[in-house]
Amino acid sequence: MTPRLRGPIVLPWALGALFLAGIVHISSVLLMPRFAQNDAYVRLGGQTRGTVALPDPSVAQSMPFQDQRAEYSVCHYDLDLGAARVRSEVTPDALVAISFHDRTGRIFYSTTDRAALRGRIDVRLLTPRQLDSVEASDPEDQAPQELRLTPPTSTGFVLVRALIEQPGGRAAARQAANAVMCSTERE
Amino acid sequence: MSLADYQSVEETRSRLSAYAKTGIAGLVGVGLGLAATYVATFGALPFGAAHSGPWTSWPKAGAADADPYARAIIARQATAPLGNGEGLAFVAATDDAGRPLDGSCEYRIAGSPPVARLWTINLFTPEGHLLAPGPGRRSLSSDQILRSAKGDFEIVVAPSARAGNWLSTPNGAPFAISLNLYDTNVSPTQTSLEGLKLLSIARGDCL
Repeated sequence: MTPRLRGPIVLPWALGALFLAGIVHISSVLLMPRFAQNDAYVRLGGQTRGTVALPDPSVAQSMPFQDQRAEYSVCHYDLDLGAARVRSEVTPDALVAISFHDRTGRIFYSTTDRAALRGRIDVRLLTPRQLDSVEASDPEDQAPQELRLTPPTSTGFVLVRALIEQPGGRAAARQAANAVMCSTERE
Repeated sequence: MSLADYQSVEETRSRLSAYAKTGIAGLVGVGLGLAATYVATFGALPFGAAHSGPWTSWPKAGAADADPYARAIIARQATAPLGNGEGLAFVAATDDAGRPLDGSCEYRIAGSPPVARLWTINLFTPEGHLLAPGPGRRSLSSDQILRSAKGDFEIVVAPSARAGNWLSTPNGAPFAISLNLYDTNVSPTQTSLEGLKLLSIARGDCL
């Protein structure tokens, strides 16, 4: 009697295991950005201050598929220390592309110098509370001079790519990547 | 042993076996779930790929509404994809005929890429790492390319030096080609990439 019963009894256990596997799979995928130990934020230096130059990507890679025809800079922000500001004058010698990433590496905004207003890139990263207090002190009759963004997480990083263009070459690209200034506005 | 004793032993045994089955089912479930996550986040992004000939792009990877798999892979592989406001990135791991790119073969890249302020071509390992050092260039940008009087061009990817636009491969090693379009007019939506003619990758002689 027992051997006859044993066969079909395995099925509910297998279904249960599969159901659990589905739950574990979905939750581990959703949680991975939060718990990844060695993600781009960490590999690009973690809590750096100011703009940090990354090594020449044709010699030493900082991340997979990094464009070897570009010079990179990175700066990390921590809005708990105050609003972050990213500023640069636009130079004609290099194409500068900037991506704004949250703590998990997700891009919440990206642009190139072509979209710059009045020849300069000027972005302010604020928490919703900081945005409120900044807007409260705005002059009534004047539009803000800078772009204001509220990142999904209070920490994250800004990645600057300066593409090598002739005749300036790599040196001009390096200079353009270094020219992007990141600062923290202490409250 | 009385009948009552026998029944209680049987009961304990069946209860123990139920615990064991629950434990095994639990372990198998957790193991399968984690294994599926490992496999799904190991290679390329599973969803949202746009294809154009041998080229593949994941436009959503550079947007705020990236899917959970893309976000998991970006975190795990520590990549920083090109943002949609910066441009569009493509990768090819095969030639036009679908054969994996092989460092001992010669390839001719030709065609007219979409309008972009600047585009670059880079050679990597299939995982996106730098190829072993060797002679010659591993990357070219659109403003370095030598063109014919008519304006068209050809890039030769080969292990030995060529005249003109030459990218060098380590002999025998598999590789991938990336094409980055910066400040492009190609909209990063999947539908617009259908029918988009990027550069062709034609295989020539192999060593």
